[in-house]
Amino acid sequence: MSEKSKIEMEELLSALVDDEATERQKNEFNRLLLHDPSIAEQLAVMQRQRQILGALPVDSAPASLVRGVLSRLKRKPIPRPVPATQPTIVGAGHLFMRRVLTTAAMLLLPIGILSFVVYEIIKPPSVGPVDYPSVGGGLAQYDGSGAAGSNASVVAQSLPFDGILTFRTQKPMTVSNYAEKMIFDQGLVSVTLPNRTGDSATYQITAPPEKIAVLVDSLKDVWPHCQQVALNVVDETRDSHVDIPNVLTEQIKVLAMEDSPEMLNRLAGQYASANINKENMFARDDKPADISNDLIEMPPFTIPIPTGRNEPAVNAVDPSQPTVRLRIQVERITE
Amino acid sequence: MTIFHKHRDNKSLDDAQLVCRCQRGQPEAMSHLIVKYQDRVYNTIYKICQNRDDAAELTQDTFVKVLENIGTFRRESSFYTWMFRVAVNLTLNYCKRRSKLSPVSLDAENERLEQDKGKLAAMLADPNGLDPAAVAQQKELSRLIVNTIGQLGQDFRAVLVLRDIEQMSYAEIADVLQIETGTVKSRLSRARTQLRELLETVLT
Repeated sequence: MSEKSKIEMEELLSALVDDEATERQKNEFNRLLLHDPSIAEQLAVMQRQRQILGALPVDSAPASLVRGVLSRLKRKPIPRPVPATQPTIVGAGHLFMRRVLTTAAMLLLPIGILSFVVYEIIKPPSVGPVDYPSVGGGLAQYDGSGAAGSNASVVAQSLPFDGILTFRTQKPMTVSNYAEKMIFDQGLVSVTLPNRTGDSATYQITAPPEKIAVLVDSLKDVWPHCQQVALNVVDETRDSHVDIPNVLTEQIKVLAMEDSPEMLNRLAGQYASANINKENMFARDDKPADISNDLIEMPPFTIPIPTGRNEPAVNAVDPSQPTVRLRIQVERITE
Repeated sequence: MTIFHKHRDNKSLDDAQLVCRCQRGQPEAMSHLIVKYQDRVYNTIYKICQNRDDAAELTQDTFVKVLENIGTFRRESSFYTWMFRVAVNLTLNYCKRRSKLSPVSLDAENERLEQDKGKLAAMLADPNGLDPAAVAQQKELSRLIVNTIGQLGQDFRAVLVLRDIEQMSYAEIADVLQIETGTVKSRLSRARTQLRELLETVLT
């Protein structure tokens, strides 16, 4: 019998002695028994050996055991009951907290980094202490009475011009996109407070008159796409306003440069009188066939992300210069 | 039926209540628990470590450790196997540390047991011989058997004592020794074979 077979035989007999043999092992034993009857004798010897071990006399523990144990326990803290749910592993609670904190850190760190990156992208450029008036107090709530924006004071506005340039068009989205592109190109994003809702858009720009003039110049291509272009010159000190219909870019530039309130009102009145019977020379009705071509020739109306870092530094507004306020309003007009 | 079986029948009678009271620090419950298990723990330890003084000390250490840590007992296993796990671990570590695995000189024993030579071997081989329980109660023979158990390897000795003397099931032994049931089976088989060979060597 090989060593392996011998070990297997011993394990088989041991399992039979303990009555732990499987059915397969019992069948194997019966099969082996047919070939070697001495196996039964081996099983009997193992059974008697087990019986002898199980019948060995039992020694009593020392009588002083209880007293000795209790006296040793008295010298040590009395065991405190521990809730069944508390883990017995030493430091398990500490380990759990470490895992929680590690997980939280792993989650918060990327969020923090991402937030910082997003903030760096969208934060306005630091070109000076520009205080933006709220849109709600500006054009959005303008009711034509001339009292609009009474709460929307503009910092460093030392020149009297305060105008609302209104483009009424059938393509307000196109005009708005173009206006935004021009505002960006002129480096006026940081001093512009945009508000787009549905088909209408407003851009409140507070900048030096030279910048406003350049912007208005750049917007001259908008006129052909509008059915009405009007300028409303607001005089908050007198609580009045002058509406100039069919206003021209040159008129706006002159008004923006004017430093005398009286002269401003006078010029506005003259322009209003001169323009009141004049049709918009660039109105769509005059050149309906060219509309689509003009739009194609316009610069692409892709709206750049207004980051201060990407804005051309040469166009940055110097907040120490006197400023005027121009509010550009784009509205949809129906046929 | 041996005294062990009577103990086994009662072992789990009030274990849960006793443990709860011990966890609340009641000395009476602790005393009750010690009295209930002291003989079985002591005998198991003695059969493994082969020295009565060491067994007494280790038994005391076992109960002190069990009662000190009873607050951490989570009832994932029975208190009985948990306590024996503490006892066996303490004993095996102690034996390993002190190198007291085979403290008894078998040469001296052989001289004293010359007259019993072959008696046990014949008893094992004769199915119509004396009652095994009567053989085991013979003082010299029982001492010889215990000493021979001490010659087994540490792992074999522990599993043999827990099974054939303490009458634990394979699953309980696996729980106490923290090993697989299959390992229990193979170790037990080899332990029995080695014990039989040792007894034959000594007695023939």
